[in-house]
Amino acid sequence: MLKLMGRAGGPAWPVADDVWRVCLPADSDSDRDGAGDEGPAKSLACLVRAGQPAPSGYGLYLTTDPETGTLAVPGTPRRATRGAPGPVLKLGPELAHLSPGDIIHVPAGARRVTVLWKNSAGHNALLLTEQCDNYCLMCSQPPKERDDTWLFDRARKVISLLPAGTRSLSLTGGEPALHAGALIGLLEHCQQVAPELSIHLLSNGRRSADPAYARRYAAVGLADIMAGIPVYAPEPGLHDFIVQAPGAFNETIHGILNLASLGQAVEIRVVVQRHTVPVLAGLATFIVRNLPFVAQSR
Amino acid sequence: MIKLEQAATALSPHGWQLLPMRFHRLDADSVVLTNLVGEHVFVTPDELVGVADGTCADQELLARLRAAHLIQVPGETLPAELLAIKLRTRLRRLADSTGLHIFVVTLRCEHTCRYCQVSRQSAAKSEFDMTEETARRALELAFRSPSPHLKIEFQGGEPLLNFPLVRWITAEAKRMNAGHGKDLAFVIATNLALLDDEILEFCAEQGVDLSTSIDGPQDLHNGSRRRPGRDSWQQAVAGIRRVQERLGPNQISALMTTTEASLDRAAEIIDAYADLGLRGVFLRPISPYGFALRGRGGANYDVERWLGFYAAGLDRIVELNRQAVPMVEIYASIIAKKMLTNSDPGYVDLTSPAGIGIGTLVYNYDGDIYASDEGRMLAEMGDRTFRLGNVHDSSYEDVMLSDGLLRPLTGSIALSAPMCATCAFESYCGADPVFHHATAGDFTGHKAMSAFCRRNMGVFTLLLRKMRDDPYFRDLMRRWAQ
Amino acid sequence: MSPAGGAPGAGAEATGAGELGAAAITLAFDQATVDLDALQRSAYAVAAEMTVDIRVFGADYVCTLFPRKRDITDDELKHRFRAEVNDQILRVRIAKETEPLRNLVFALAFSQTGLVEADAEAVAEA
Repeated sequence: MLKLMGRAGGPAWPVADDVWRVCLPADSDSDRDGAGDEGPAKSLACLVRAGQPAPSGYGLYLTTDPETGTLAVPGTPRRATRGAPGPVLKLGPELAHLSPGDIIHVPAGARRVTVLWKNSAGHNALLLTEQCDNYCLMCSQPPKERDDTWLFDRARKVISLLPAGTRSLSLTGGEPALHAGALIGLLEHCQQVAPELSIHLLSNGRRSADPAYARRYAAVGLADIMAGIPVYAPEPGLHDFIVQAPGAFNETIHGILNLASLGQAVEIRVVVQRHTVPVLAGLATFIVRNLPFVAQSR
Repeated sequence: MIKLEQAATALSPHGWQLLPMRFHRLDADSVVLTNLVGEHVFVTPDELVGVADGTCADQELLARLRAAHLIQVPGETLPAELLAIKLRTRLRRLADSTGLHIFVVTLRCEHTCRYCQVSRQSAAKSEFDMTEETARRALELAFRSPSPHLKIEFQGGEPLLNFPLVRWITAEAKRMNAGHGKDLAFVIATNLALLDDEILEFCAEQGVDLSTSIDGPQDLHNGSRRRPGRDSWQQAVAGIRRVQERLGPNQISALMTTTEASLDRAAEIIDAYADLGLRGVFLRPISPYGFALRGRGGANYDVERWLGFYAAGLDRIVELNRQAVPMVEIYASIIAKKMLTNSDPGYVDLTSPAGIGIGTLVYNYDGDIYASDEGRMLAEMGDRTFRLGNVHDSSYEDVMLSDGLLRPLTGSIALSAPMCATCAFESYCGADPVFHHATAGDFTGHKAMSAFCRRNMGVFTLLLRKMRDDPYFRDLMRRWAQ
Repeated sequence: MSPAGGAPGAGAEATGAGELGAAAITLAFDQATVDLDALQRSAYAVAAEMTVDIRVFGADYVCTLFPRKRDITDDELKHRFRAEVNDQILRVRIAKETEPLRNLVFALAFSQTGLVEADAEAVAEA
């Protein structure tokens, strides 16, 4: 199983908190985004294998080889014997799987690296927030109250760096629509830089009960976006209990209806657990009679 | 950490409001409740009282009633909104009149079926054929219909006796459609005795379907359907096989006509269909007027006997399904769609308001326009109540806005008819203003004394009991509803 | 087939003089607990089995039942009519209680259909 967090040997000089796409030295010029004489390639991290020379022009260099790359400090006269032309991160063995097209987050201090995007995976999800207005009994990610809107900025950067040929993207949380403005902004960003993407947005749908929000969501104009919205029971009593939020069922269904009337694709998600099992048949009947327009996940 | 206890979501006594609800007592210990759009829940008589009185303490039942929009918590708005959406979906078809256009291209026929309600003319007289001019005007009227789908059905007599006009109408309709972009379908209702290679080729090329009559096994079929040579069944079977080979199994369907002689032979009739590779059987009543009244083998046979016939036929079909022969009883499948989905199957004889004019229009060989096929047959007996005009001198507005159409339509709205308005099965049922006019003298009739009502109630209660008691049948109905 | 537990309006027997004389089958219903509307609906619903004459008598409605066929006992006839009355009373009660919501559903269903021009404009402006 791939590890998505790993240790890094921090470079001697500070590396800015940033998001980087991994690439190989052999990658084409267009991938290097103007690297070379004009300065270090923004947001591209060059993965250097043992024994390979490290070409100049990148903002960051990555290596899993413990021997490679002592650091060259910019603006100081001291250079190491086997210098690299930029800051080098020595990755722990758990990150040996990194390959071109992957996207990583290197925080200031560079002690740990998070893999945000695995190019070889069929499906990647970007976490947008850990806040949520439902408190589902079976949630694998219980909500946290702290302000984590920086996750939206990070996601924006990832979307800007997506490797060529990326087909699909998942957006998840918490409840992304809690930060309506940030979410709409992020979707608009997708529409601008990656309009061909197939987007799957996991949401409880409650914010869409507000017709104004639903209209803003539809107005972004994405050709291929589907909202995956959980419904756990065919009536408010059990659903509200499972999500631990009174009024949730009514808001969620209203939200689904608003999205549907604006021509937006909606998928219903059900988690099979102790409380939902007895009502699965009734829930299926409810969906057929009341939400017959919903799509199925592609 | 639980913030919201499950008990907190329970409904306390008198903690709910009733939503529009109808009930029917199926048995001494079983009641079916239906909501405004026909979703159903089975309860006991005591449960009905408890729900109506506000004393029911069965939370699981209350949850099911909430899900089925039979009760709600005061202050909720979602149930009413969902009911409205479902109701509007069901009534959507009203904006898309008229889907089925029947062209009676000739009254000539070489059969003399005992129950036929159409004038019997020998095959020689061609003054009973529709002309191209009449057909053109009829097509012009048909294309005035808002419906995005038009089905043109060729009837008679025997339509193949005027095959050149069938060919002409098909071509002309497709030509006229260039300016409309409607989805066209064509079907010829024929006894197949005159089927030849030319006609088969035409159907293959032009995408025309065929519908024929199979009343049951050979002796039953030939007993009513007389023709020179006494070989109606053999001709029909040979024709069916030819069509299945040349066009495919889905291009031919068959209808049965029920007579007195059929009533004890339901299983045999089903088996005859199965042997012919026909998957759909439509167990129909016989209409009680026209030649059926005058001839033998028709008339007002006992509704109870017919219901026994229907139950036996349905049982045989279920049995075949258990043996992996996927037969469908068409009437039950129409009702299944109405019971289990919001879509209306558009069967003109089981809708409210009735399908007269807005579901179907009939253009007779002489250009006379009728509100339904039964309306045409009534005219053959001298009662022209349902004649709406003539293609040669009536405009579309003359026809569709006439009193002759609007009055029976108004009388056919079940929601405002005595007994129908509070009937648990109103969403599944329809209205038959032609039948009630012919038997009771007004378009609505008195449902306590209506064979139409008795028959449909019998079918609905039979189907509901079987769905309640037999999971296999319930699944079969769900499949048939798709 | 009556609802359990003391149904309202259970008919009491009365010796009324019906049109047939001493053998008339009659039921009396207390006007305080039974609507005339429910009685009339009941008479309509059982019309294939019997015809019913309804009159006011003091504080009661007195119903005289005339069976159409001879194959039913007097008691069964009364059970049949009383059961029908109890069901119609329940229906009338449900209808009264649910009338506002029923009207709301129909109003919602038929609003904004675009079939009438004023509707179409309202939708466009929304």
